[in-house]
Amino acid sequence: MLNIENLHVSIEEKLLLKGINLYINVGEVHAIMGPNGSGKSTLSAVIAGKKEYKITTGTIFFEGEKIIHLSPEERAHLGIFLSFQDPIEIPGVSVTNFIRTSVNSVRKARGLYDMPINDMLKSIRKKLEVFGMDKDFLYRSLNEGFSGGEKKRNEIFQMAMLNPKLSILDETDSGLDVDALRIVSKGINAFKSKKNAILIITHYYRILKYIVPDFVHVLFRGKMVKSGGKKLAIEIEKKGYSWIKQV
Amino acid sequence: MDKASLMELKISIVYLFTVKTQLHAPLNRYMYNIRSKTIDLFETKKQEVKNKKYVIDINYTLFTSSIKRIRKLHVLLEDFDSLRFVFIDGIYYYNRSIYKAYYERFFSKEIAYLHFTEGLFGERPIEILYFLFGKCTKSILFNNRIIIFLGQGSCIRIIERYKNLSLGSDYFSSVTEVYMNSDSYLDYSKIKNDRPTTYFLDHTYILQEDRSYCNINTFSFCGVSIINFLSILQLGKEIHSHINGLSILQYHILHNTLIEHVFPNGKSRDVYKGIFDKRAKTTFNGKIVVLKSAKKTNAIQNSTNILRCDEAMVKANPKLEIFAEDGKCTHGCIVGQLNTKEIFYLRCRGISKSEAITKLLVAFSKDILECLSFKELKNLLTKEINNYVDHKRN
Repeated sequence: MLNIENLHVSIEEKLLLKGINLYINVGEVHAIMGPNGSGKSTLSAVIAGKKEYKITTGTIFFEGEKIIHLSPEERAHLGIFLSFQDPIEIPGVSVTNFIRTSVNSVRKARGLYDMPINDMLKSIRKKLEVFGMDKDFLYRSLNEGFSGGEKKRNEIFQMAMLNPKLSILDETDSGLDVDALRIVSKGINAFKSKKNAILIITHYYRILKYIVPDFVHVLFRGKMVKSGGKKLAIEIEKKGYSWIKQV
Repeated sequence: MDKASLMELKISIVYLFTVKTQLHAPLNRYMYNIRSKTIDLFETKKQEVKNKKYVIDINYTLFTSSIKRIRKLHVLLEDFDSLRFVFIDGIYYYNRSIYKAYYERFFSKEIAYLHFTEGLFGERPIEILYFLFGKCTKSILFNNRIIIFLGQGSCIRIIERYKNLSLGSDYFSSVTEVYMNSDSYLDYSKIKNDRPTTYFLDHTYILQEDRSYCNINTFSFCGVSIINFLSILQLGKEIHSHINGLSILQYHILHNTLIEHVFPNGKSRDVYKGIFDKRAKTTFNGKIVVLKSAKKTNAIQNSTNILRCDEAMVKANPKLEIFAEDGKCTHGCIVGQLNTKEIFYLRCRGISKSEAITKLLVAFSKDILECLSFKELKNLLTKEINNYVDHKRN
């Protein structure tokens, strides 16, 4: 589904990613781990299409097509979803309004009609129950005054509404308490199917307890240092990142 | 004279003024004269209209010159249910020295006087409409002057709108004076969304007494040059005055606001927001004066501006003059651009760039709209804002 080949990314002549190769197939769950400042968030932003980052060499393929030249909204229409590490507060835009325009514009790009409001509200309510959120939440401004847990839940809620093919979860677990983490990962697991793929970016092993990854990659100083199965994550949890630095 | 004695002089003048208003005698006589004049004029004009059978569904009409295309009016007046005052065509002014007269405040000779009696509660909003049916292509200076008198405990909502149907570049110059008695409530919305060849010059003076509440909203969307003067004098205790402004413009605009606190426990808030594009040049001069006697005053002044183009320019001059020892006054000015992170966030969810910008700008102007108490006007303005923000994108 997603092929990244020899990706080099720089910002203001500072090299952030130095040759990354990543292959994600349909139905797989990948996890990228690494210490702070290793380029994890950069990688997710580049896949989503942030303009500030310059791709010097290498390409990204999504379902066999080059997506480097596409704008963020076009990538979203193709089915790439990025869950933000710190979602931005937008006062004045209500959650319902935002989700409605977002879902409808994605549907429009796929050549479908706008979803009727009744159906939309029904599906929103269904999904709210899964995440255990209040109805008041729908009428609040987007992320304004949300607690850290609410923001993350809101991101996953949007993911469930948009139903993307590839979802990148950038540090969804940080800032969540144990119960909230369980609810969020329950939602992610309910969403996971054979038709979509998930890329989890995290520091810790704890979210991987609930969402079992097929592959774990370790990113260090802009390079993929190591790849392996679930055991690698457990090893990192025990020993920290220092032993990788020695390798 | 040093500064302290100057201040004392100022206070004594204000005190004289308050005594005058409390006695009411000279003011009432003045008002009475104006009132009788306007009623005479109104009756004669009304007869004219009746004889010609022109207007049916308009509640009141005041004409200052004859009209040709009045039949079009009912099409323009269908927005909402309200009590209407319509002014059609001002004084024609052919002279070249138009700029000399431009800054004269009380240029107009004909005055409308609205008197609201004690304890009146206006269920329907009152709409004041200014129309220009230009007979010629030359520019016209439209002068009008309104005096509004609110009785004790009355509650009124007023909407003021302008429509220019002529072809030339025309000038609206309006003077509004409001006298608010104690415990009265006023919600006043001024909407300037005419064609982009029109000039506006707007003076508003408000005098408030004990425990009165006023909420003034100024919406400026279109016009070559818009100049708003707004001054509020708080002559009483526990007065609330809120002034809000929203401007979405490509041209020149000047806001001059002045709020003067004289007695204790007054509250005021002015919030001005603007979205400027192309070669917009804007100035915001906000001034708050808190005199020595005005203790425990709470005044907030805020001006937030978004520039969408490199050539647009904003000047913001907040001024606070505080002589009271015990009070709270804040001011803030922000000039900036749209947050690129916010746009990226919306784009990542599949919303196109232009739509994302529209959404953010509409959200930006939302807190001014929330100050409106009249729901239908709010809906109308939301549409209008969407239009202007959209239009400017192209």
